[in-house]
Parts: sequence; structure tokens; C-alpha cells
Amino acid sequence: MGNKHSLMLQDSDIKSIQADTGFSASQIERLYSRFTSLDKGNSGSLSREDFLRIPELAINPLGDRIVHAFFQDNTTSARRAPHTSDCWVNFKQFVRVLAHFRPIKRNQENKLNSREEKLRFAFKMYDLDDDGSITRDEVLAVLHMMVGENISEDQLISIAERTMLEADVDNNQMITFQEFCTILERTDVEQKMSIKFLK
Amino acid sequence: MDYLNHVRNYVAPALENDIWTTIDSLRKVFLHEEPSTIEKMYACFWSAMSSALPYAATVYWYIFTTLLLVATVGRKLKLRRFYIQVLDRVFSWVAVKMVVTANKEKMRRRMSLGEVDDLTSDDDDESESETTFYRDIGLEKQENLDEEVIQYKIQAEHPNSSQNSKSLESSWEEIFSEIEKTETVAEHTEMQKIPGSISCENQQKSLDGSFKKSEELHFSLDAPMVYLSAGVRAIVDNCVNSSFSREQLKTWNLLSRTIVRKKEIAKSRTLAGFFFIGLIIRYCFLMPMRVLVLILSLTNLSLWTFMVGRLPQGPFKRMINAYVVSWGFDFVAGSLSVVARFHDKHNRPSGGIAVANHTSPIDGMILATDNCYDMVGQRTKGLLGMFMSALAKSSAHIWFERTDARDRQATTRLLWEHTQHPELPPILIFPEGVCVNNTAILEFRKGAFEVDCDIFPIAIKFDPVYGDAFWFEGGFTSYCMSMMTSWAIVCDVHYLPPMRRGQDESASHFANRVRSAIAKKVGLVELPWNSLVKSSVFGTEKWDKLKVDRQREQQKQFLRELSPSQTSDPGVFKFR
Repeated sequence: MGNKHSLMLQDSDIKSIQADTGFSASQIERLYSRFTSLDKGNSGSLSREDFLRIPELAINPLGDRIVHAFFQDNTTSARRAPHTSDCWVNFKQFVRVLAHFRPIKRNQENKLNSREEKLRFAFKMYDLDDDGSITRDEVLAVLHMMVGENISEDQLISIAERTMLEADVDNNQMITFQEFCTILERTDVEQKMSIKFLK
Repeated sequence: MDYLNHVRNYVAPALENDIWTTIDSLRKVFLHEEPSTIEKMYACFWSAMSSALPYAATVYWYIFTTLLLVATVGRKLKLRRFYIQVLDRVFSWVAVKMVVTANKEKMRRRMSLGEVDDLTSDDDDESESETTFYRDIGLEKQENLDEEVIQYKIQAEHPNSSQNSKSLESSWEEIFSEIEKTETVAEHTEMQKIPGSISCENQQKSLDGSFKKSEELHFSLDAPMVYLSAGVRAIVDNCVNSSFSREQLKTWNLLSRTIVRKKEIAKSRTLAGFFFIGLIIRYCFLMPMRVLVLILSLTNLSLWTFMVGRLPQGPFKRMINAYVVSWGFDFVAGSLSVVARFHDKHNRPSGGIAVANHTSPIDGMILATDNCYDMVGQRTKGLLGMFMSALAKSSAHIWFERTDARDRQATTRLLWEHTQHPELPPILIFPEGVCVNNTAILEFRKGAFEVDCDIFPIAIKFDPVYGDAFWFEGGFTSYCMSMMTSWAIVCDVHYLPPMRRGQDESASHFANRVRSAIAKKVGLVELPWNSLVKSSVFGTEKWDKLKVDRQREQQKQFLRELSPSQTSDPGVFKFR
């Protein structure tokens, strides 16, 4: 891919992103090249449309939720730094979210891609209103996204209720992050929530 | 002061007009003082240049006319192929030089710091990135860095083979002959795949495959995880975008537009020097010559097609047309230094319809240098449009307007009528509809496959190291400019044996069969998308319906995976 923009990424930026996420310098440069190729308007940041222009992402049933994850980081940091808007993702935020999917390496310090962080990312997929807990309606909504109109509404509701029964141990009609982790104890999260990043 | 004597004794006498004495005398006359050092140097320089200029101009003229001759009669004398061989040697030298520079840098860093610079990458990362780098540039490192002589083996065979190790001191002929051995296209594509990435064919399969491995038989909260990974993988790198951008090269080809690793180039003075020499050669010699040849050849072609167009219809006209057009196109192809190798000429199309994969606007022209075709295409304006109307007079080409629905039906009828006459030249169609970057092939449009006649598949594979012919942005003139400042356009054309639609076969099934044959021949990835997807990549909104359909397919797939289990485990939720 073209390389004109890598001049705009300073060495100090690369070092701080390295420390923050654990990617190597060449991986960061490759991601930056990808970032600029997605950034059609050359504005130095990505909008939701830029993400959804990727065909494979646009047809993914959870595409909207994935894109939301990038912008969700903004709203939390917006409380700290008011000048960041939640309509744009800059490169640092882009890499931060992608860092959650780094494979876990045994002899390395893993900050953003630890098992707990990966589970937290999956938890946020369900938690539509970002209140820290998953309700039955939220499970239903995600099921809707994944299955579409191929099942009747009643069957969907039964599935959702069944899932809530299994997971909600203390019966407060919502699944907290702890309960989420407990029920997924035996899942190989490392393998399912990791992708290979080329150097 | 001795330089002054040097100037006076050696340089000044060589000058035709004695500027030195002129300036000297002028100064003495007007200012009553000696000229300063800088002024003297300027005077020398100026006089040297002005005397050397006529010689430089003559040299330039000679080189120019030589190149012109090469471009015009070069095909017969196989001069273009010789030029390609010279380029091959230069590129292989460049590749090795880059590795040597990289290693020197690494050794220097290690010696000065005493440890690895990069604190967060462990040994696995380092060696993996090295091997990827070497694979990127077509070589594979065999020894560790502490040895004096670093051994390389050229990846002439399969990447995992352990033969063909060469030491750095081996001659360039040996290295070149190893590269020559890679004639088979299948091995070529093996080299092009970067191991460890998810290749495009497997991207879709991995989504389905991981579902099948899953032991969860009811909906569990981790079921969406595979979709999440697939989505994020698509964000990091997706097949569609990578099929519409310039192909990555295995070795650097001394062009600024293909620089991937700037550091090695900046640090080695020889490489930078070669780059600048290449720049001068391309912009000062090759490009003006090519522009001139293009103008000449286009006027030549238009003239001849006009004259052929005046002839009365009949077999004589067709014969003359075939000969004239292929010669005329070869002349035009010379303006871009096109070297096309044709394989399996016994399968050359005659009558019927020929289909090929589409990478650039000059595909049709390249194919027409070997055989005469009637083209089918979209009417365009500008340079290309004038060209099309010139061609239309000499033979039965079919030009249409894609947006006009009636025109489309008329075109199908014209196609059918054309195929009813076997003495007419074959029709050339590019069923993909858009240009792809020659690593992948889109789904074919079924229009050409509905007609019941022989289909001749043709597979075109460009070698992008000499110049990338893929057109994806900008106007046609800027595209021409970028091609004219490349080294050459090299491609392999394979004629496949003719295929015919089966009795009960649908047009789309037949189209896929033909597509697979072409893809397998030259190692292209078969993408499960049609040409509408290009408009999604480049920003227009035409493909919403396609998107919705595909989403529904994914949802159905997910549903199938949640299907009822065989056991009667009460924990399992069954649904109809």
C-alpha cells in the first residue's frame, strides 16, 4: 500500500502507542497505513461511514456494534478531555481498540489484551446502554442482530430468557460482568477473541 | 592561489569564448579591482556548461533516436525482451543490497547498544519480522548475523525447499538463472502469499469453520465472539480493499511509488544513487520518447483504420483489418514498452466469444496484438473515446451505453447475431465489468454466457515489478503518465481451451465454471463479490441491496449452527 502518510507519524507517537498497547513498531506503521487508506477524506480521523465502507464489516451482523466500540472509548475519554468528539476516531483510539485482539503472549505483559480485557470487550457488545449490566432486552436485541427475521419473536424471547436463567446467578434480572466471566469460564477466549497482526 | 593558476592554465584555454578574460577585463575597466573567488568559480562553471551543452544535446539526441527505433522495430529484434532481462538483473541486485544494508544496520545497532532496541518485542517477534521482510523481498535468510558471509537462498522453488543456496559472492548470472527457473505460475503465487495472514479464500471459510468446531449446541453468550473477531479482522485487512489497491511487490523496483522500507534505501548511498539514475532515465529519456511514439502510433492507427473502413465489406477487408489492426496495436503497445508473452497459442480464439480477466484499460489492446477481436465496451469520452470511434469503422465492434436499459438488450441481440457468423473475428468481453488489481477475480456478469456458442477463456497475469498497469483512481491521462514513467508493462497471456455451456447448466453456473478455470490458471483469488462492491470501496452508494442480502445469508448461517442437537440433554434448547 502507499506510504506517503507514514511521514506524519512521529517516532514519539510510535513509542507511546507501543508502551500503551504492546504492538511493535512495524505493526503500528502497518496499522497506520491501513488507517490512512480507510480515511477517505484525509482528515486524520475515521467516521462511522469510513468503517462501514468496508464491505465485509458492513455485512457482518454485529458490524454496528463493533463500530460502536471504537466510538464508545471516546465517550469515556470525553468526560476527561472535552475536546474529543464522539463522531471521530483518531489513530491512537483506533489502535487501542484493536489492541484488545492481540494474541496473548506468555512472557509478555498484557495490558489491553488480557483475558479479562477481552471478556470486557465482549461484555460491552451486549451492554447496549453502557450501564455495566446486561438485561434480557439487551440479549434479545443482540439475538435480533444475529439471527434476523429467520426465527419468530417468541422463539427469540425463549432463547433470551433461557440465557438469562443460566447466567444470572443472583436473580436480579441482569447479568453483571462477574457473572458473565463465570459463565464463560471454560470458553477459550484467547483463541476466539484474537486475530493475527502482520508485522 | 594555485587553483587560479590551474584555471588559467588548463580550463581557460579549453574554452571557446574566453569568458575569464572578458570578465577580468570588464571588471578592470569598470571597477578597477580583481574579481572575487566566487565570481571566478561562477565564470568557470558557466563557460564549461555553455561549451559542453552542444555535446550533451547531441548525446541526448542519439539516445533518443535509439530508443525510438527500439520501440518501433524492437518487437522483431526482441530488443524489448533484452531490456526486461537487464531490468531483472538490476532488481535482483537491488534486493540483495537492501538485505545487506538492513543487516549492517542491525549489527551496528546491536554492537552500539549491546541489547535489542525494541523493548516490547521478544525474540519470536524479531525473527518473525525478519523472515517476513526477507520473504517480502523474495529472499530467505539462512544464516545468523554473526557470520561474515551471509548466505541467502533465492526462493526459486517452493518456500520450504532447502535447495538452491547461494553465497553472496556468487555471480549475478547464477542468481538470475534461479529466478528464470520460476516459469510455473503456480510457484509464483506461492511466493506471493504472505504466510501467516488469512488469505482471502480462507477469510470466509474461517468464519464458518470455527462455528463447526464449536461444541456449544445452544445459544451461549460467547457465540457472537467469532463474528467480533471476523469484523475486527476485516477492519485490519480485508480482501476487497486489498484487491483494489496496488499489488505489493516482492522486490523494490527503483520507483518512488513502491517504496515500502525507506530506511534501507536512505542509508545506502548506492541504492539512492541508483534510484536517482533511474529517475533521470525514466523522466528524461523514456517518457518523452514514449509520448512521441504514442502520438505517432495513434495517428498511424487512426489513419489505417480509416482507410480500411473505406473498403467494401467482405473477406478481403477482414483480412486487411486483422493484419493492420494487430500491427497498429503493436506500435501503440511499443509506446508503453509492453512485453506480452503468449502461451498455448493452439487455443487461440477463432469465432465465438473470448472472455478475460480485467486489470487495465489496455488489456484489450494487448490481446489484440496477437489476434484480431471485435470489442464490446462502454462508450467513453476523451482520448479513449476518439480511439473507439476510429476503430468502429474498420470492423464490427459493439459499443454501448451501460446505463441505458434498452441499449443493454440491443447489445445482447447484437452479440448473438455476431456469433452466428463464424467468419467474423471473435468478440472480446471482460465479464467482471471493472478493473481489479490482478490478484483477485470478481464474479462474472452472466450476459456473455447466455449466448450459446464457444467461450474461449483467456487469463492475463501482469508482472507488477516492471510497472503496475492497474487503474483505480484518477483520470486516463494521469494513468498514462504513470505508466509511461514505469519501466515496462510485462504480462503473460494464457489461452485456455474453449468451453461450452452444458445442456441444463444455468448461465451463472457456467460463468462460475469459466471463472474458476481462469483463476486456477494464473493463481487469482476468487472473491465472492460482484463488481458492485467496488463502488462501496470508493464511496458511492449503489450496493445497499447487495449488503442486505449478504447480511441475511450470514444470519441464516448463524441459525443453522444453533440447530437442534442429537442428544436429549435438558440443558440444550431445541427449536424448530
